[in-house]
Amino acid sequence: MPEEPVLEDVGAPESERWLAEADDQSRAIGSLAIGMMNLRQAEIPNAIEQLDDIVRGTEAAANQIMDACTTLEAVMANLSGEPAQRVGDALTKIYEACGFQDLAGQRITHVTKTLGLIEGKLSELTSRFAILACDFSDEPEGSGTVSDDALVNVRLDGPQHPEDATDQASVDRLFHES
Amino acid sequence: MAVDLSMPVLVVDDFPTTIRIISKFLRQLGFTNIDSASDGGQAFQLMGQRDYGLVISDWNMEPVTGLDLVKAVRNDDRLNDTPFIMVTAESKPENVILAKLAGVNSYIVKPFNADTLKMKLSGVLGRF
Repeated sequence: MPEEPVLEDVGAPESERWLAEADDQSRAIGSLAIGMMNLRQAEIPNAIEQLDDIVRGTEAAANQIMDACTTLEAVMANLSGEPAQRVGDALTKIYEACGFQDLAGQRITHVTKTLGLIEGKLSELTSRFAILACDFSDEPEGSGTVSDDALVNVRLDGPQHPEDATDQASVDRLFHES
Repeated sequence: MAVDLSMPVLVVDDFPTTIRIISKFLRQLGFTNIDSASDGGQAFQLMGQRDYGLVISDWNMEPVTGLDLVKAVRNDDRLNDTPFIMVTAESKPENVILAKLAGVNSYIVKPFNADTLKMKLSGVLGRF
């Protein structure tokens, strides 16, 4: 069996190529580590928060719907015969449909748990590769004016988290003052 | 024998909207005495304090599931003949069988409607 070549036996260009490749790989892993840390520290917790908001939001909506039904039931007391029956049947259907919140909530809980597992695995990975994480934050600070790139590359965050949300009055103020 | 609509009924679910819906349907049928709990552990505690004529429980709850609850109820000398209906999104055949073996009297799959609840209640408690 041929012996494995040792580094001294390999030509200088070949060993330089290997070293360069190893350096490239470690930079790539470092870059990935940065991405994974961002996922773990920001994106996944944000996604979990959004899912929790959905559960809370749908619960509030379902309760609002059922509160309205209670109001209609009080009005229904003034009806009789077929109209009362029809309204009663329709209200029952609405209550049945409000069961959506339970099923949606269970599915979301399942997804949240899965995200939690992913977060855990990312945490393990990033702790292993943290030493290779490179600092790529070399972009210059913004100058305060809006460039064409900013208008094109704007980040959209979707619905606001209720506790941090900007209300309409604040938006109107911003809009008229800018 | 006619169903005693004044008997205490315990509704167990970790989703308050579902408790509200089931309680609403029970009141439409004439039941007047409805309590609720948000997991099996809380439910079992309540059952230790009051004689419930019926338990309607979800399965997927934490820390104590509906399956844990029915097993605890069937293992308790004082509670073991309490009528128990599971109302759950779990619909796989093996889960239905598991619940039956654990001692539930009836099984309702979510989403459900008022007629199904009434039918299952009649099957467990008798006509009303």
